[in-house]
Amino acid sequence: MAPLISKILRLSIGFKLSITFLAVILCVSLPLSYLIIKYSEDLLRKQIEESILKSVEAEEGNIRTAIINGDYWQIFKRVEAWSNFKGIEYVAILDPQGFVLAHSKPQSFPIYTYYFPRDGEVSVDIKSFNRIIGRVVFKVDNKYVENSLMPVKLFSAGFTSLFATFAFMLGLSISLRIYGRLKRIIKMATDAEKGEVYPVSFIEKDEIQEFANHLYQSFRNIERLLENARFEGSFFSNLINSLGEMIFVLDTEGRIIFANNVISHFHYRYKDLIGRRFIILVCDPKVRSKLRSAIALRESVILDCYFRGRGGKVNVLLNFMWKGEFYLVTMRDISELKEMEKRVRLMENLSLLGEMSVGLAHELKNALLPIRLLADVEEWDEEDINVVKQSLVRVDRVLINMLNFARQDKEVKSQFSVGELVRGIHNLFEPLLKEKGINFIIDIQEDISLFMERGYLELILVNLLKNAVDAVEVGGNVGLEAKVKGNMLVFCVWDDGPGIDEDLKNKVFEPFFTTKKGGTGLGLSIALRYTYMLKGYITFESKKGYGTRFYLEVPLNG
Amino acid sequence: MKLLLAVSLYVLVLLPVLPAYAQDIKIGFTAVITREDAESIYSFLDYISKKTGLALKPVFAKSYDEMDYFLSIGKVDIAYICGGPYVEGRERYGYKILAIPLNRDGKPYYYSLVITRKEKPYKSLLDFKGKPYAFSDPKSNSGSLVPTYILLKKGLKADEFFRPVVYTYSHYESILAVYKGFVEGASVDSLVYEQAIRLDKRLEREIKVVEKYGPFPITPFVYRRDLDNLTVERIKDALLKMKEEEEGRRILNVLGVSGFRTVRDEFYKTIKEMLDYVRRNGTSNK
Repeated sequence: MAPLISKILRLSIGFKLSITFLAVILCVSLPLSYLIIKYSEDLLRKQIEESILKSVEAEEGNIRTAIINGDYWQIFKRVEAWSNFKGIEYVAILDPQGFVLAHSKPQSFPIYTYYFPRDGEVSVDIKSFNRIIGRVVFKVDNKYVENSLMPVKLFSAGFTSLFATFAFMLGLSISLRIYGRLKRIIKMATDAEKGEVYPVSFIEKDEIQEFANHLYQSFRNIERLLENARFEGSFFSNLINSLGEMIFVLDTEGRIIFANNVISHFHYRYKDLIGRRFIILVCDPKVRSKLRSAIALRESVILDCYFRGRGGKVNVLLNFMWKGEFYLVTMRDISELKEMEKRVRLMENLSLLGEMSVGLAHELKNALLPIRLLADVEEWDEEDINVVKQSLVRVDRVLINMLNFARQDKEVKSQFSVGELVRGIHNLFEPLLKEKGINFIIDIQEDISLFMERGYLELILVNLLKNAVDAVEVGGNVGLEAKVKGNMLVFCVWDDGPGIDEDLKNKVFEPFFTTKKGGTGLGLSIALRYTYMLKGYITFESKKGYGTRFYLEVPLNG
Repeated sequence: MKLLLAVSLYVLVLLPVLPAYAQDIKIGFTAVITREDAESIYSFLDYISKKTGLALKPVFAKSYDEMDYFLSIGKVDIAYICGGPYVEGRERYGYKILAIPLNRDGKPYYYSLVITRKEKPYKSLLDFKGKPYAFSDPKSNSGSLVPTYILLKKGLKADEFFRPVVYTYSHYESILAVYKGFVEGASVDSLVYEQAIRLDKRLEREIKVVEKYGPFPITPFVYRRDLDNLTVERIKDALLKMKEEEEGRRILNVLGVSGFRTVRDEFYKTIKEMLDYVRRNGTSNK
């Protein structure tokens, strides 16, 4: 059944239409013909039966006499005459017990043989004084009835065939017309693919015309969309290629399916990369491992790593993004940025060093002042010697701090306490604080032990304090607090200066942003960078007219 | 006077003829089935009428019993009946022989034939035991008396031997009953049989003669005893002279006979003997 249905479904529309027409005609015509023929047959059968019954009625007297007299020949002649009536298959006259007195087929049913009734027979009793003395039995000849109705059947068959043929031809012609029109629409579609869009018009304004119009409109819309897409394609292609970043699109397996032109800066050709695994372009095995994991877990990662360029490895910021169906990877060459940052930090340090040198000179002068005063004393007592020793220790510390500050970013972790750290910074700032008459309020837990790059932490705090000291007026207040919060140490550097303007709050960490005359604008950005290096973070709160509080959180153990 | 003499002579000459002209002479026939039979009878009677100047009119009886009745009441004057009913009628009603026909061979004899369909296996009358069998008239010699007599001679009764005896009241119809297969066999007059197969080739094709009994004296024309002699003689004369004329011969040929002759009553002795035997030995026949 299923293969048949499948076959029918595969037939052409014309064939299906013709078959449908044919089926409808046959479904209507065949039952109708059958009913008419059946009705006619019944009618004819009744007429034939009626003719015999009338004759039996008319001849009843003679039959009765013949039966009573045993005049078989007369009975036979009557039977034979009836059997010659049109449409009669056979006639018999039986005695009351069912034995044959005469049958129109005497060779098959001789006199006195027992007669077994058959289907479709009509039987009429012959009575004499209310006593049944015989029975006339006859059967209508079905073949005669069928043959008599042959013209009706032929007419019906002819009529049905004529209609069926007509229906078939009609179906065929309609389908040919539909086929022709569809061919024109197909041609229209084929031409549209080649970029030639034109409308198709038929005499018939029907659904096919509607379909053709709709298709034409769709092609027009597609054409417009294609134009836009082309423009967008070229726009985005230009855009993507004009970006400084390398852009890759990877499939779910991490294979490159797109790369922008920037790869040529690294002496790669597009065809060299397409289909290759992206991770081969990454030098660091640890980074490759991270990328594999990200690909397996469909995750996004941002990594600072080295790209394997054909001209050598390049430090890049890799943004590896899972976009649901593909990976979008951007790589930005940050080697120059890194270099510049390095230089800027150095410059900043030098600048600070310059600024600090005044303080340093003042500090040294102060430290050396007791010695200078004692130089005029001829004999030193023990107390004088202690003063000299303290002065020398102070000079030594001032110099060490200075050296520490001026040192490059190559730092090693060391163990130290918060007290030591704060004292060193205090000493460094003391001359400046005295000069401006600033109250420096320290609130710390001195015995907190730290293990980290001390120089970085000093640099951050010095930058923050420098800003605070610069912010306040003469006689202002600057404070340094340090508290343990969980496994983090929280420093707070505050001042009661004028505070930061609301619209500038977002910019304070940007490099070269400054509000100070002669400032470099690098202090906070450097502080921020070193904070990251310590795996900590900086926040601040500031209220105009009330001052500013910077919070630095760093892990207690690096 | 002359006129009176002439009228007297005329009356004297015509007197014997007057009764004949006074009413038609009715000739009785039985067992006329086909139109051809009727036509040949009419042409035969027309010929005799022309020769005798008598008006002959045919009367058809359904059986010999009816014919006897017609002859007895004068509804029939001359009848063409079988030797059997003649022998009985002679005794009972005084029938007299007018003339007898001669068969095609010129002989005054005929036979009682046992016929059946050609495909049937019967070889003799005795083979039809328990089968439907056709007799013509119960009084017919060849169609009833002969087979009854033959069976009686064997100690068998026809109405018990056959199952049943079908009376057709006509030799021709007995032939048809065989032909149509309604009966298995029939005893029929050889003259009728020959005439029938001559006229109807279907019968010749389908029917065969199984046995032949005879010869028996041929079927005679008889007349009622009170029919006037003049009429009898004139008709007899016409009959006897029929074969001498061409038209007469043509009509005789159609009838299947070659001429007519006269015989004495003793000619039917064999039939009388068979009839007596049957009467003596009893039968349940009609």
